[in-house]
Amino acid sequence: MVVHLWNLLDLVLAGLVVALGWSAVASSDLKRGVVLFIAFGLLLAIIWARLNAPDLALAEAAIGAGLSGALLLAALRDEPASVGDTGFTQGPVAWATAVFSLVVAVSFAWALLHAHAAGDPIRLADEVIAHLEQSGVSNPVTAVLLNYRAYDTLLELAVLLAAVLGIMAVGPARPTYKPAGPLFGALVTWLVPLLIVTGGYLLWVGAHAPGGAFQAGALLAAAAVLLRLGGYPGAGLPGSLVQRWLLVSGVGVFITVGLLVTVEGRAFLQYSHGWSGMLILLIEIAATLAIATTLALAYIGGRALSSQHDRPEQ
Amino acid sequence: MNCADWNRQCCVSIHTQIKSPDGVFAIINPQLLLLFPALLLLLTMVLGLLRALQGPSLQDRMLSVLLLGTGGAGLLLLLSFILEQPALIDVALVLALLAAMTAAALTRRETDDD
Amino acid sequence: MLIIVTGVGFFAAGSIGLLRLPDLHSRLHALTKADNLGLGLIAIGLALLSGSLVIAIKLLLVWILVLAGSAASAHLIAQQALRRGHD
Repeated sequence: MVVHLWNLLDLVLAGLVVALGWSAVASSDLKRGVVLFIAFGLLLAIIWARLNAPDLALAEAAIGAGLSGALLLAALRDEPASVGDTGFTQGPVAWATAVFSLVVAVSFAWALLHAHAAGDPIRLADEVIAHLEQSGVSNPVTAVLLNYRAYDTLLELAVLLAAVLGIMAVGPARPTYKPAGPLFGALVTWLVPLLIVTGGYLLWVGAHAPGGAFQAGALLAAAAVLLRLGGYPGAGLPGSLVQRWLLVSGVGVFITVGLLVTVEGRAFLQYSHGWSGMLILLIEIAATLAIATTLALAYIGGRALSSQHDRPEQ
Repeated sequence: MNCADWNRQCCVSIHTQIKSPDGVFAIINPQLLLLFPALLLLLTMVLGLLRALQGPSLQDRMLSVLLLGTGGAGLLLLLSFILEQPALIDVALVLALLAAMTAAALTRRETDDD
Repeated sequence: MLIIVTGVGFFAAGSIGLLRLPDLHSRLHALTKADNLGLGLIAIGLALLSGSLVIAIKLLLVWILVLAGSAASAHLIAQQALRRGHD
């Protein structure tokens, strides 16, 4: 009976996510598509939660639904509100894409089913858990991200840095918003500090419970987005020199820590046992600030104004 | 809920949980009874979503974001008890905060003067 | 447990209101009031079920945040609808 309930839940969630995804892509009104995409992201966060993956659920809710939606909406300001008949919506290209997507989906499903059915597989997760005490944190996801596969995270941060450099190189910031009225001002007043505090909480708790640098950075960026919407052209960011330091600090601190541990004769990014917890925390703090600054600048769309002008425009 | 429970959580798949009564959770786990209201909640969300997404104006679509934010938070709270994963309460927290931010982004967007 | 089911019941009422009510503003009413009340009942029920003060406080915090956030959001949506001359 319980199994049937789970299956029903899964079925409804799966059907809903496919329907939302389809309608998000298929809608001709772009703003409608973006709202559907945000709903799709929220639903995906719920699905990750159901699959017992709270770190992914946190990241999806913060970045996939919230910030991606805000970025898409900001991009929509410069674009017409509906997409006409471009070559991608019909014709042979569309059919080829549909067939290709279907093939990929079927092969993934087949692979997943076979992986579940395979008897007694060698699971990396067991290795991860076995060495968890030596990794410096007790959250397996953080251990994988910042210890076992720290090199991948370093490169991800470098990709983010490259993206924001591209955004800043393309042009000036987007036009700003009116100063906030009483209602929105009140919302900003309590939501921004709450977002910042929750971001700090997620960063701290990421060592032993679901959380971590990406989620915390996304929440801080959400606070910046809210400030920008409230009419602050600088979105609460510090001056441009400090911004550059913050942007670079994610990758910079990572590489510095990695090189410093080589002084003892170890490999790059091979933390020593006693220090790994502290080093991971240090890297996470820098990464959080860098990710927050990156996403905030991506939302602003270019070089933000300096902090002297960081008041709502009159 | 200490770290050992949490570690065990993320390594055992849902299928082993449900199908093996002598595994991590017994089938007669009272928290699994919460599945009923969770499912009901989900179904009401679907119904509300249908309407919100079909509605003619943009504001109707924004209602869907609001619905998913509130309903999703409720569903996550229920799931956190069913799956014995207290971190999902944090996810509900983040969802609530970001739903407010998203509503602001959606509405503020229209009121700016270029 | 009963409280939770009542909470979901309120939620369902809110969503049915969403489906059946004619106007955006009345739908906003249904959505914010009934759904938030439903969420509050769910939170209270779960808090009683958990037996842990920390969890209970967290649950109530989530509810208060959803309340404040959805109140502000609903107001913003309604304001924008008025501004754009929606019926």
